[in-house]
Amino acid sequence: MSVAIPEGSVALDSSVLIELIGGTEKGAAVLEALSSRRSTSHVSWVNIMETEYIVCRKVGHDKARESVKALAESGFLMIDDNPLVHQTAANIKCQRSISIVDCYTFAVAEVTSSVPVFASEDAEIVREMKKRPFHLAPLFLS
Amino acid sequence: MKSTTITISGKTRKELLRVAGVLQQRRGKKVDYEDVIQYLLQKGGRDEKLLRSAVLHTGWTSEEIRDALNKGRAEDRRGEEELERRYT
Repeated sequence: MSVAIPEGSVALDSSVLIELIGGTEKGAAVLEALSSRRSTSHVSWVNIMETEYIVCRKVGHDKARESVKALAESGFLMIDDNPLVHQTAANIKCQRSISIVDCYTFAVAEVTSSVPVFASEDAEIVREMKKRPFHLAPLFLS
Repeated sequence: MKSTTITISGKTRKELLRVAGVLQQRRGKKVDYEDVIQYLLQKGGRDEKLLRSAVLHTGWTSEEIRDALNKGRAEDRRGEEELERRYT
């Protein structure tokens, strides 16, 4: 499967991280794109948290913790801990009817001038895009 | 090798000296700022083996992942809607 993660700066949604950890076909393609170092990948701690609890529900706390820790410490993700990310996420949530976690993906994208990347098309996001485009257009991997 | 001058704060210089002390003890020889910065850059670099160890091969399909995310977000949405009802 060819996953077209753009070169340059990207903001990865939790869905992309879970695909990677889950070892799906799409996740394997994301892993190759990351390790080839074609792009700089930004994420928020909120997306990391969502990834961990979803993986935890599948494999239990210890394995999920270990996996997310490895991902965070690998140096392939830039985890943005800037207060501006939280302020931007709040502003997006105020104006848009999308999940808080998606707001964080868009906020990290805005603060780091990155392309927000989601594993698959999300109905809420598409509906919002039709109402008014986002500052940075999201990329859906399928 | 061509060298250049960089400006760092007193606090960072102190930290570099602290790391230099540890490194010097470990290597058993004198180290300079170049050695310390090279060491820190290497340490802070990317670890591909660690990245690959994060993959759990859960047997999940992309559809199952989407369902799990949607279920979690539906739980969150109920809480958010309740808050909005109460305070707006």
